[in-house]
Amino acid sequence: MGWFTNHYYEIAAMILFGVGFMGLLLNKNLIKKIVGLNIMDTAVYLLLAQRGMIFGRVAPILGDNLNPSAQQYINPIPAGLVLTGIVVSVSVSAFSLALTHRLYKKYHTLNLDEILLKSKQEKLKAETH
Amino acid sequence: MKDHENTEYKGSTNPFVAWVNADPAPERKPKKEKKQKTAGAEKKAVASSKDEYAAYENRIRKFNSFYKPMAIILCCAFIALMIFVVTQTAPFGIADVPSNNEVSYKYIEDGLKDTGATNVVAGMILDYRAFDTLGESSVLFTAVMSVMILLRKDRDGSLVNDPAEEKVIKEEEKISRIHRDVVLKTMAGIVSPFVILFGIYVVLNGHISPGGGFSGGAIIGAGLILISQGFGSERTKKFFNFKVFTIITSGSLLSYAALKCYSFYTGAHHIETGIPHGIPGAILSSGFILPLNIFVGLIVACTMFGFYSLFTKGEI
Amino acid sequence: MHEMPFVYNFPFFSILLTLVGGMAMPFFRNGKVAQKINIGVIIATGVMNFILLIQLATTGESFTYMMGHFPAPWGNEIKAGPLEALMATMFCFVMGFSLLGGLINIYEDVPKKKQYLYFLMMNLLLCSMLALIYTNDTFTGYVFIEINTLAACAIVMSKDSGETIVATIRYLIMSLLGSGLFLMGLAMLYNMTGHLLMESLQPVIVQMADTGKYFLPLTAVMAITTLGLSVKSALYPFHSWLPNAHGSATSSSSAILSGLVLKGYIILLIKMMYRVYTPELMAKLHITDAMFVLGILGMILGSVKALRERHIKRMTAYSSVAQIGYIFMGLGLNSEIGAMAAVFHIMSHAVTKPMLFLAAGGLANVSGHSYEFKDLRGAAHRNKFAGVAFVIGALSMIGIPLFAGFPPKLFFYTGAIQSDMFRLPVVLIALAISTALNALYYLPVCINIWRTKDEPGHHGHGDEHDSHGHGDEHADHGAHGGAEVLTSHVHDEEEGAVHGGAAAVADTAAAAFTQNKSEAAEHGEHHNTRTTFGFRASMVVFIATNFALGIAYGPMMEVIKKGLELL
Repeated sequence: MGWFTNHYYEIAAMILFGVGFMGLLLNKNLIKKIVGLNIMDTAVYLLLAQRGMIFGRVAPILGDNLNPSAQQYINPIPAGLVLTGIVVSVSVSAFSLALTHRLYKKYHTLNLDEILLKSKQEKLKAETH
Repeated sequence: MKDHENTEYKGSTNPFVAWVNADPAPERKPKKEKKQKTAGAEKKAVASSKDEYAAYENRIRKFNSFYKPMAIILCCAFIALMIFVVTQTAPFGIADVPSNNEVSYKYIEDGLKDTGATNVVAGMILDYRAFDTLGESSVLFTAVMSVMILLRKDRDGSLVNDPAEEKVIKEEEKISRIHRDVVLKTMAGIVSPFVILFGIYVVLNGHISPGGGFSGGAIIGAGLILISQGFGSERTKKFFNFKVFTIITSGSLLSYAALKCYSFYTGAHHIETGIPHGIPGAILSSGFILPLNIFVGLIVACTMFGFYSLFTKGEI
Repeated sequence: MHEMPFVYNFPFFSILLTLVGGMAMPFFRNGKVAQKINIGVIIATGVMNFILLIQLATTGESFTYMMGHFPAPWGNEIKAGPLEALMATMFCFVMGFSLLGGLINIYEDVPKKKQYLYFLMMNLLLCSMLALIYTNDTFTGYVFIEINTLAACAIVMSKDSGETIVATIRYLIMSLLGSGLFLMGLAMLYNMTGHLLMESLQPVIVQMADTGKYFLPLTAVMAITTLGLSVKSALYPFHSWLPNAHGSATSSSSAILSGLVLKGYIILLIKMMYRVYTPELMAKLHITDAMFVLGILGMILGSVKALRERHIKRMTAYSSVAQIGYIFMGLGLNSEIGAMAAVFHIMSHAVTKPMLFLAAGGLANVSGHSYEFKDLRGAAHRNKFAGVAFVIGALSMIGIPLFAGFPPKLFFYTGAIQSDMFRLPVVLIALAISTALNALYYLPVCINIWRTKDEPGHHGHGDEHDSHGHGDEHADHGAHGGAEVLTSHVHDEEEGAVHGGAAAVADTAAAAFTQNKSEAAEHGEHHNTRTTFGFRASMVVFIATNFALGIAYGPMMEVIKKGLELL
């Protein structure tokens, strides 16, 4: 059972990644696809963040401790990386939702297949005229 | 080469020649010849486009029927493999793993001395790895500008301007102005000052306690959104219009870049910055980290509010 | 180290300059000002990188530049050598001339109020690509990959139509999948090594490979990061987003996306390969085998797809898939010359493909903005510069000697001979098939656009606009009149005429011009094109560069060799 007890965070992250990946691949609804992408991102952040944790140590906010020892605090690097990652994911979610918004305004549907068909139809109409 | 093709073209029964001539396809040749604008040809064109549409629809359906099981199999295989892979890596939660090396130890042990920040993470992202964070703020900036390309209404008739939708938005605004939700309005009035105040606190204390520009900025942005929800967009427009948005976002980013330029340049040339680190734990300490946090907070707050108002009204 | 030459600041300056230029643009909110800033920044950056290139190529050294007060494993760093400087110079050069060549289309396709945002995105795109080239830190690479993704999507969808937005969302989803995989790879790499800096990663990885510790995770990480970057650079099975995105965007965007953005990711991949994983380890763990196989598949199947296209830009886009296949095939050869040829192919494709896209745009401009082959018949006579450029680009892509596309193919052969016995025959056959296929889809188009007889029905377009007055008016000036109409139209638009009105004027002008042209063609006269000076200049420069690369490839290969050694 060592493989499970030593790695449950990573395994959870991977399962979450799978959930997000499936959501991305199998949903035709664009919003759901974007949610899937967000879940995938979150899974990667979990994978990153769990690396910082060390049992029995505290978060690296020094407070009054002016002579910190590395044995007292957890690893600060993953926290910084996850912060960067979250900001990036906010940005790309906003952008992809804005794209979806525009597509919905234009084609009045969120289904990617229908959007593709409608855009094809539009193109053919433009060609015949 | 050209002339040779020319002489051969006239008949164009040869499929290769027809293809060279870029006619739609050899078998559709007859249609092409009757290209006079008769009603029949028109109908045929429509019919052919319908065929093409049907073919496209069919292709999508076929693709889907093949794609779904493939996607499930691929995904499951990938995840099973990855789960197996992660169990081979270093275990969770113990100190003796490769990632706890001299890099992270240095951040903890020398961070206070090097950066003056008691929040080691803030010191790390805004001083040691400041280039990443500059990139990160630029990602936000890029995103808000891209959303602006997509959703901002301009008055000269681009696709965004849908008169019907404009009407709906105006009506909704009118309704919400007359029947303003009392609960929302009262609560927004009570809560939003505290929210914004808390956001400012988080930003200003980013280098000595948990928090910082990104989290504080998000809180301030949420407070602004709450005000806009409760009191209507006219109220926020009084102090936050497009011009203010531009000046704050671009100005903060430029100031951020200028400060960081200075510190990168001096760093690369091994010159002291001459910025005192101050007393650890005081608000006015840790050199550039406080102003950088403020700039980041401003950028994030404006960006969050910008996203909100672009999505709801298509303008800031 | 205290007294570093001033030239060594240039990578840092160029990254910051492009970034600051982009950030300053919202203050002006004017497309024309933004364009000037953008061109100025590109020129300045190009000159700086060129000086750096000369310095580094003559001294043959590379250097690291601290971004802050803290040295390597703690702070951020950038690193520059001859290869990086060469790539940066080339990127600035290609981007500048792609913009110049497609300027007229940018002003037509992008809504007026949003033109400044287009140039802003161009600036950020250049910034992120420079950062990808110069970065010495994998995580910085990830952050700038995301900027690159967003800016690239933005320049696709800035041409406001349903088609481009559908293309953008497909592009965005695939790109995000790619960068998500890359980030996951980095997270696991950090798990195993505790480093993010390329230089500190390499010894740890080599040691892990020697001791066999974390063997499986290491393989997985290498596979995942390579996969992520391959998805983003449109390696064959992951290319589905590319033809739509590149085919529907405005000409400059297509040129830059195809010529540069894809290459930015490949350069990062090369850096990961040489600086982090080492080529030997990649070969040992069969990552290069996968790259080789997919590259070969891309070379052939991309061309087959291109063969079936009847839309000139989509065809050119599929041709990009094939060319990306060449590059990956070269990287997968496991030989030094193969990698050098791949880098050279990055360059030759980066100067050829933008030329093709811009020429296609120029041809479509004189054919009623249609990209279909049937409407383009004889278009080259209406726009000679575009016609010549397209033919030269096509010959270069096929790999005719004297053109830029030839030397990499030659070196792919040499690299294949250096490689193992299994790869040699495959490369020989694949290169032969792919060259034949390239010829098969490019040459008909070249013939088609130069065809004089059998004028397409499209010229009747002019009648709808009742533009006889215009036509007569300008008949004396020949085509030149049309050019003036069009340039003045651009001016109008820049100066703030009502968009719709301007567009109508443009339509009439174009129609009048087309008619002029067809009339003039019947008389068999000589005439100018209706293109702007910028378009002609960029075509001439691209053609000249193409020849330069095709003839003087020796010194270039020397620089690349040195660069790869110093990477």
